[in-house]
Amino acid sequence: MHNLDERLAHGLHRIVDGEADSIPPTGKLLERGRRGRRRRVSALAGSTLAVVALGALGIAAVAQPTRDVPAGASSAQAPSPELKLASAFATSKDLSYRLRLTTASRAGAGPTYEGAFDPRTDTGYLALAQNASVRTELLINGTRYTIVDRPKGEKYGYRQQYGRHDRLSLYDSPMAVVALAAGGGELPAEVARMGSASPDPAALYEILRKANATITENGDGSLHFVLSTQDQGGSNGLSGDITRDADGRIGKVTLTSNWSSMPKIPTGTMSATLELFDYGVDVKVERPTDIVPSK
Amino acid sequence: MTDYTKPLSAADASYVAFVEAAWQRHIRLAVLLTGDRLRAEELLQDSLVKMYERWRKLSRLDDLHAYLRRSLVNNHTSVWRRRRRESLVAEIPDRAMPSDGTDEDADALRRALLSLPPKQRAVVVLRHYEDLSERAVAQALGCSVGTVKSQHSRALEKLRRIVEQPSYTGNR
Repeated sequence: MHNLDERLAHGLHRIVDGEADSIPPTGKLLERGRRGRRRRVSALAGSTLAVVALGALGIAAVAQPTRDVPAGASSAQAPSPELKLASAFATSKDLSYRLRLTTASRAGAGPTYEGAFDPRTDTGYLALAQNASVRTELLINGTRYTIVDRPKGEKYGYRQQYGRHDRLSLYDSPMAVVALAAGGGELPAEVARMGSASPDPAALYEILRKANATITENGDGSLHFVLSTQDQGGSNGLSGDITRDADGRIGKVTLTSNWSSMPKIPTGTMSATLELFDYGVDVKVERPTDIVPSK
Repeated sequence: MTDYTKPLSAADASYVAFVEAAWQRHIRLAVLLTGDRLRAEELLQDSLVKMYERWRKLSRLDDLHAYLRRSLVNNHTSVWRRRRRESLVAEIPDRAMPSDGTDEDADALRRALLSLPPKQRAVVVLRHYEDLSERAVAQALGCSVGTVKSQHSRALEKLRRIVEQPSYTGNR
């Protein structure tokens, strides 16, 4: 028995492991699903009318005829803020975009990043203006190159980073933006545990989902999220607003983090605003010629 | 890649996100159930379309993948029964996937699997491919643990008879 069990498990995997991956026919499924739903609604409308006709014989009935709901229209019960949030992230997924990230802390305005990114090709660029210098990062098919232009036009050449990367360095560390907004230095572990204040849309959604964040809808239709943690060091909070563009995609994420009663950093607040726009933009980056290989 | 440049409603967007996550995960299960890639894709599409029609309710479920798994098994059983009724012969075997002849063990197991009735096949696949417990298989099939045990036992008995035949090259 045991031998057969093992052979079955092994054999079943051998049967299908060679199966090629295929792309889900999402558009076709949506069309078929919409047609099916329309048929169901029409059938329901027909039976509703029949019931009303029968009722009219003896009972004064008030019937609200069922409308044929157009494809993609919202149901009578509005989607919850959580579903709207999931939808916004799903609608924005796997699309290229331009981005602008501004940060601020109690010390004042922080650095501003501008760039573009295409998650399908792992290609993009990022420019960070800080302290009279501009740091530029190029990401070309997963390879990163960085360069810093010093004042007086002095250049050091592009440095190629080791390994392959599927994102801009801005998104490497969830705490990168917090650290920069707080002045650039290393932050204590207590702060790093605070709330993973990442502006990366995909990472942010995962954080909100896993942390069971409270999602509500603001009066202007934007979505508000709040999550808080309490530990021995004090309380930490992360909140923000997500504004959707006309197509329901993520348009702007504002993020505010605060912490209190932490050793060395008694109270702090930082904020970041990430704007995503020009979805679907063609992101092409040319490989630089003056490259210093990574060591 | 799906064209997301057209705006989707909130419900549609969450459905699309689920389909993209579910497709690769469940297509292999569907292949094992049907024995044929084209039928597997049809089965998976049919199950996903049915889910779309009830998406507003289903999207609140904790485990949509478990729902889809159950739907795949049930739909496959229904299709199998319908085909059998429509045919004049007593039993229509599922078509075997074309073999490239390089893996005779797998090919023989594939044929043996397809000789099982759909429910027994589902039990075997869920137990040995999806690695589900008997309780989880019972939930997936909507039956009792006792039924899973008896179906599993019968399936293994039949499979053992087939794979222990001298012609089964895996019996070495």
